[in-house]
Amino acid sequence: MSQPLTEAVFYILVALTEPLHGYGIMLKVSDMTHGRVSLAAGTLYGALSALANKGWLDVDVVDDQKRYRLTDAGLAALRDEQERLTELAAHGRAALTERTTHV
Amino acid sequence: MSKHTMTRWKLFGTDHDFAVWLNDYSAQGWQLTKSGWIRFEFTRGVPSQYVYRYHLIPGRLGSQKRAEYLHLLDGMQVDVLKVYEDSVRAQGAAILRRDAAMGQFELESDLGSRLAYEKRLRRLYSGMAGAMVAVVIGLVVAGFFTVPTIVQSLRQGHNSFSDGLTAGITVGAALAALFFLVFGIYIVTQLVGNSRRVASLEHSHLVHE
Repeated sequence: MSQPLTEAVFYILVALTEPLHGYGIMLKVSDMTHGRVSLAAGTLYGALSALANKGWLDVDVVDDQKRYRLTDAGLAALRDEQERLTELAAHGRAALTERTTHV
Repeated sequence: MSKHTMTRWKLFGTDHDFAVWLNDYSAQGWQLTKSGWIRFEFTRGVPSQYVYRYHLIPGRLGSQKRAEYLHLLDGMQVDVLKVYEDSVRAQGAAILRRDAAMGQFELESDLGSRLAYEKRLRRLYSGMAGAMVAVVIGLVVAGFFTVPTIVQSLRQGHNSFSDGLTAGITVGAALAALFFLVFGIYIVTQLVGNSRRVASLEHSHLVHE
């Protein structure tokens, strides 16, 4: 069983389903969440370093800029987390539906 | 000095209070243009045009790590005004600013990274406080050993060059000890504030991510 991911890491992995540079990740996540999730430089840098160390990201240098892309291991981690969150949401929904029925 | 520029001196500054100091001037319309170790120059500009931060940044000067981080900051339209190098810990501390119109300016956006950052600061402050204590003790001990020599020479009515030198060293050591004592107390107050922030973040981290 893999460890749950933080929201920042989850969105970084989601953003990197297409190769992007650091600032591109930040813009895409902000856009995707309508500004709710805003990745600051320190948080983003720390997460990218940790993910590269885990082998979940590969880095290419394009026009002197680092572009990050998911590895197979990174994609597998994203799928696992997606399943975990789906299960989480299903349990929450079922509990709330049951409560509404009893009331 | 022109009324459009001003110079201010600041001896000590840690992350939080240094940023507060710069942002207070920004609110009054004074924007930082030159910065040294203790001397800072401001130019009259638009009040609250910029938000300032003073923040630890990773990597040594010229390292790939440092370049990557600065590149990220550049992409986020953050101006790096000055970097102070800390070669002992292979990191730097930078004065950063961003246009206030771009919204909230944070360098750490989630609880986990805020907590990690505060813990880095705690290690830094603890090391500094320990060094200050060692220096003060060293100076007090050094001064203590010279006092009997001075007292003895005063009793005997000597007024030689070596007596003057010993007295000078003692006074110098006492002044240095006082300086490091004040600096040490300041660092300890920062350490207390930092420990409270760490405790509060750890408490929140039990529930939120």
